[in-house]
Amino acid sequence: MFESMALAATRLADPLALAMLMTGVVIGTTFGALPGLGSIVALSVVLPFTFGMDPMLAMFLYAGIMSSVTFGGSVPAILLNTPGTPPNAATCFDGYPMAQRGEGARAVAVSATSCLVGSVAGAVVTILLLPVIKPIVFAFGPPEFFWLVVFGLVMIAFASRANMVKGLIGGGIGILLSMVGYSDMYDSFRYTLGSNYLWDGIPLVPFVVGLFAVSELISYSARGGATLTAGQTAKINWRGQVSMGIMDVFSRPTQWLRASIIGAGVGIIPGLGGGVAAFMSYFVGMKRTTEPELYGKGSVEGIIASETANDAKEGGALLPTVAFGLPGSPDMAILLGAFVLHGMEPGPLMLRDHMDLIYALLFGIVVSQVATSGLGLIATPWLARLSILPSRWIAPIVLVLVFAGTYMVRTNIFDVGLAICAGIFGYIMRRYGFPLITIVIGYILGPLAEKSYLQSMQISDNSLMIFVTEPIALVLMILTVATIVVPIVAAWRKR
Amino acid sequence: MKSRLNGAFIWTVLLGLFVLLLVYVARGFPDLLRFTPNLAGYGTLAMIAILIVGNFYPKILRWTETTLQDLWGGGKTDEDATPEKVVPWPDVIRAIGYALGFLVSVFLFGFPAVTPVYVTLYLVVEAQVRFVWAALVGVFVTTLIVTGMVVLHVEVWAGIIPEFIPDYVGGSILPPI
Repeated sequence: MFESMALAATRLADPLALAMLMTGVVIGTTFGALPGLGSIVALSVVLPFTFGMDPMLAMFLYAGIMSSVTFGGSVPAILLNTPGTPPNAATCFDGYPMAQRGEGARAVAVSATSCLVGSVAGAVVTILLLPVIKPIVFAFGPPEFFWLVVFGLVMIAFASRANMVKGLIGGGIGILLSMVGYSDMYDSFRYTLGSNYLWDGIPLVPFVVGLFAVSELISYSARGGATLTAGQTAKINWRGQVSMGIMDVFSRPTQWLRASIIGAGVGIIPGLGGGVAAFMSYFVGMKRTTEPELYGKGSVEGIIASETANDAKEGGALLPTVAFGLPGSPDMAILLGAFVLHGMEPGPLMLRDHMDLIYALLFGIVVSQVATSGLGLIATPWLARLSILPSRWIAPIVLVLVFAGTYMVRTNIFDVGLAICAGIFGYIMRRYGFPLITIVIGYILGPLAEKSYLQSMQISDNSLMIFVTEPIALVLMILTVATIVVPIVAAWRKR
Repeated sequence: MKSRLNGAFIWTVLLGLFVLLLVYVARGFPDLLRFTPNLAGYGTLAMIAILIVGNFYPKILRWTETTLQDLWGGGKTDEDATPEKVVPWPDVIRAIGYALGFLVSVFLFGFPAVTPVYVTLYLVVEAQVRFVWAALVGVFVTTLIVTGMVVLHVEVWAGIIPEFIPDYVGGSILPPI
């Protein structure tokens, strides 16, 4: 453990690693500050460019992005009442009223400091829990993994926005698409249509990039216009208040500690994103505070609650992602794809063979958060002005970069075609309310579920009883059923 | 019964047909390899059926509208940053047309030749940027891409037209499909 930590820490001192972190910080903050382009799109865009890169350096790049997106998103949330990413919505409640009364810079400083505190707390929770979770993961056999993957699939589909049926449909389609290609276990082809291109299945990078980045760019360029006007940004007062904002956070240890625990806890539960962490922390904070009347009217505590939880979630979400291959949050699904791209299989093998990379990611998140918070305070005025750039200025440049990046992964021009097809498919799915993230989850987890199922059947001599007779498997099965039943019963009782 | 034959309904039906086709094709797989496609396929078909019926009887969909996020006080998931503003289809088709046009042009003429023209054209026509600025951005983006490919030792895709400028325009070989 300490050897892996030392290795990761040593690599962090490498100038190239720091350059990667900083690149990630710039990309993440920019994508966070641009409403509509969150961490998922940012990670999707850089994913192909990391192919062939040293995995450790790639981890630093991802860490830089993941840690900086939420701060980037908080800037327009505070200054312009436009959350850059959905989890920043709770920050609008108090950040914007503060900006309106001329305390915008103080609110941004509170956000930057809260993000830093949250990131450190999330990373600490993960570092503390990793040794504990390791023996648990090794106790899991194929039937336990099967139920765990099914649990993850169901959980994530249920966590999808507004309509769980559409979430489940997306998950099902993702699983079906993951079946394309050659199965080495049974020396057989599925859904390849006689094409050589599909022998290895639908390639991950063009599929994910198309589904998220291209579909978003289609929407972005079709919409036209700019997010905000120059007049809106001109009202912002940038001077002073920064040290006051920093002190605001450090003088409220109870608030940020509570928010950190909630954020990290929510992050550990597969499928729940920063939105849940931020809102839950915000409402708990409101119930616990001595000044609940200030919430929603420019309360510093409100910003601490939402932004700390937002960033603490990242560390927590990493735990199920690396330990079980279950994404702790939607952006972790893309990270899961990145692990696969770099030849790593999340789960016991990753915990055994690639602990250094996990620590690199955690350390990277903390270090890049320090950079984000520091530089963010300086760069805030310029970041906010990104929102006035017309979307049609940005769209062609990002689109060309995305296509070139997709091509570079396998130097196969057909991958660009696949990315466009996935983009069109993704756009229509998004337009009609089907959550895209469940498709990717199904696509990534489907083969894992099938592999665990087939291995279980081999162990048990084709008896299905293996899935219910093992104690952990039974508990996971009950949890899966409860995940389906609880929201339905709750909805029924509510009405 | 109120009929609501909108785009969402048609798309759901198309998805249903697609999944049905996949389930049908799965009949030809070996026994154990059929299990997952069948499980996922029939499960998805059941959900699609619920959605289709719910289109006519919305009451049956109400129980599906509460999610864990709602129960636990969450907002939206990360993927939907802003509520999707419905954009008219002609605008969407135009955006898709630009993407497809880029693909076809790159396929024929390669990245180095098409990228500056595409970026410049798009910025001038769609974003009303002055030609000089648009061209500068186009050249910058192209330099970035080509330099990236050269630095990472990636073969620059030069298009399938006969070789025109060696290694940059034309002469690329199609991978097997």
